[in-house]
Amino acid sequence: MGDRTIIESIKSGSESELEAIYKKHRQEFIAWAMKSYGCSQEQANDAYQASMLIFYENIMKGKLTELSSSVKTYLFAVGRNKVMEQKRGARKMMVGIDAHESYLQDRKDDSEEVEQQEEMLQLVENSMEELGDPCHSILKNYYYHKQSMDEIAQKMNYKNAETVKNLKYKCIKRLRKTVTLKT
Amino acid sequence: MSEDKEIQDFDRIEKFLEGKLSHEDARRFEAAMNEDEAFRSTVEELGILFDGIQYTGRRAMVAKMAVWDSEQDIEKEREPKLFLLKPWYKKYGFMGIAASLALLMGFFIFFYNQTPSSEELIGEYYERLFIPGVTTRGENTNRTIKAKAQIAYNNEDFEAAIVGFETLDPSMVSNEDRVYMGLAHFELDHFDEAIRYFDMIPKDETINYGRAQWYKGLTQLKAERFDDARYTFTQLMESDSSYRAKAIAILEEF
Repeated sequence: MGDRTIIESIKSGSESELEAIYKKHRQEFIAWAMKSYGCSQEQANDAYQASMLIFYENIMKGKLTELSSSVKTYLFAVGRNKVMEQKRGARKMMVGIDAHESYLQDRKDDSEEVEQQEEMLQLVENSMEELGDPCHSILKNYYYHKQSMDEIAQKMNYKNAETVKNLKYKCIKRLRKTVTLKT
Repeated sequence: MSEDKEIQDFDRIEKFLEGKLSHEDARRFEAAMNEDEAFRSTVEELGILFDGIQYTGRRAMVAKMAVWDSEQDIEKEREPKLFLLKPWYKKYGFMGIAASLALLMGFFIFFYNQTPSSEELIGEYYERLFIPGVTTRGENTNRTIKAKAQIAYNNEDFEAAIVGFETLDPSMVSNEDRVYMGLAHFELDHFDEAIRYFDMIPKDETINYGRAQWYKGLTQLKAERFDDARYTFTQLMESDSSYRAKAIAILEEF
């Protein structure tokens, strides 16, 4: 399967494709990172997971539609940067924190702020759990997996995109209320 | 405010946070935030919610990857350890192959020497008994038939020896003859027959019993019935037989 087909397959929601790619390159990346950068197996694994998340999210956001090199080269290049971040003693490479980069860029270096952000993120995560389905799935599919209203309607058997749009708004209101009650 | 208007306002905030407003609309939006603290607060709250939802999605993905990790690690555990040679091949090219082959040869020779084949063990430990003082005098008697069988045995004509011994009156067949019968069958790879004759020797005939057990063990080894052979030699090892030392020695070899 070519890289373009792989990307299209992942974009259409194929988890098995993602799993196959993840498993295909993992062992080699870990061995390479440990040998080349002297990191521990756990650090190498964390870097690989971060690399895979970026690969996945860029596909879902439409930022990655084709590769100039291979999937392996892409994963190794991103993974290498993650290893180097660890080596430089950059702030904790926490997967959830990166989501703040556009919104809270100017406050990134304040460790107290970062700690508060983490607490807030965990609070939202807990509130999402409390919401349950369908809100949990609608919000996650839209905001994280970047699925369109039409795709969600089809996947979750709703009448149309408009129905999903109204439901999403109600779910956000419920989430906001739950989080507010916890703070 | 109607729900439609609420949804409309929410869409606008969402587009701002996702960076989807035009430059001009974004500038107007920021101006509105600067003028209205409550509005700014709402935008920031929604921003945190969106980040939190993404964080939740990522955490779920990481959890999924952890499951894939453990599946793959279990699969790897089950792989034969010889596969670990693969990186050598990749890393060192031809020299890696040569080194790997040399290592494999080394292992082969090591194990070859450590665990000889049954054929080698038989070659090392088996000594066929020679029947002493054989005479052909008194033709056409039982004694003569027995003598012919013994001569045939000594001449390695084992089939003739077996036929000769089996035509004897049973009262004329000694336990010593039975050992030779067993050995004739051993030579012809009639393993079960050989063992049957060796088992006929009673325990109280110490010399013949020890000898018969020794050859029974060798027959089992030749037949590659290693567990049986081990058991027979162990019994012999624990006896007072003159074959005890041989039993100990052969047990160390397989």
